[in-house]
Amino acid sequence: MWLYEKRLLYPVSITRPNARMARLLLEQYAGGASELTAAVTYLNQRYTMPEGAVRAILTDIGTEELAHLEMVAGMITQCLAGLSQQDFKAAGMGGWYAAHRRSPFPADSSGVPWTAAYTVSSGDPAADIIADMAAEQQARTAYEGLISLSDDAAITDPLDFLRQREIVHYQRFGEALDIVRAS
Amino acid sequence: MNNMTAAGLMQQIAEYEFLLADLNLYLDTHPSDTRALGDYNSYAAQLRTLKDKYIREYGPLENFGNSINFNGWQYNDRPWPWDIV
Repeated sequence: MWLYEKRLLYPVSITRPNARMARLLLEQYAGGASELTAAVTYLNQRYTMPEGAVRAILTDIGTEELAHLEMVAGMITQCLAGLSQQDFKAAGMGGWYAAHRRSPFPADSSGVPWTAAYTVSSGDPAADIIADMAAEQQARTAYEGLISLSDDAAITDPLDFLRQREIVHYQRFGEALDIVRAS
Repeated sequence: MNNMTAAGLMQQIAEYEFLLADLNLYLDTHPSDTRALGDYNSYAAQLRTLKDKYIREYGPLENFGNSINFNGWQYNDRPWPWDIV
């Protein structure tokens, strides 16, 4: 089971409303290489892994991705707080306002709804872990893109934290692949 | 640590938990590293002390029985993690 802890993994405090970044952040909320995709993928893959170490790393990185998902949702919510209906309209986000007001929702930055088709679970341990390594690299690249598109340190600082975590996860999955191959 | 504010104590908890999460991932793939294991157990004990202090003074951090609500059902109270503080 899971327990909730009432705090963010890394603090987020965005006080300047930013409709444009709210929309771009959806990419890491529920896009193809998003935190949601990573969490669902890893937590789904662990059930048939033969090695305890690989079950452990998938459980723990999957859990950390859920904490990242909460951070990104918090960032989106804070970016939208205080925006008027006119602000949404001016940012070309009238559709978001009509359907969701100031709530995040699981779609990518172009509005495409999240789909389980983004996830990978082949039932083959090596194939799954190699896919996970690629996913971590895609996520790192996406964070670098988002950082380059923002000029607010309150946004880029937590994004840089998330970017660095993807690098650690890539490293750990590489070690998990060695464990799979040695077994 | 005795006169620490809620924010200061929370920051310490966040730092210990980050360290422990990272060590946890490392130990998953390096279970025979006894030095890392010693660090993990030592920091875990210190984290428990910090959390117990926070929970007693400022309210629960965890759900489902893992934090005692010393002063009424404080779990509902703001701030929630995504509130701008």
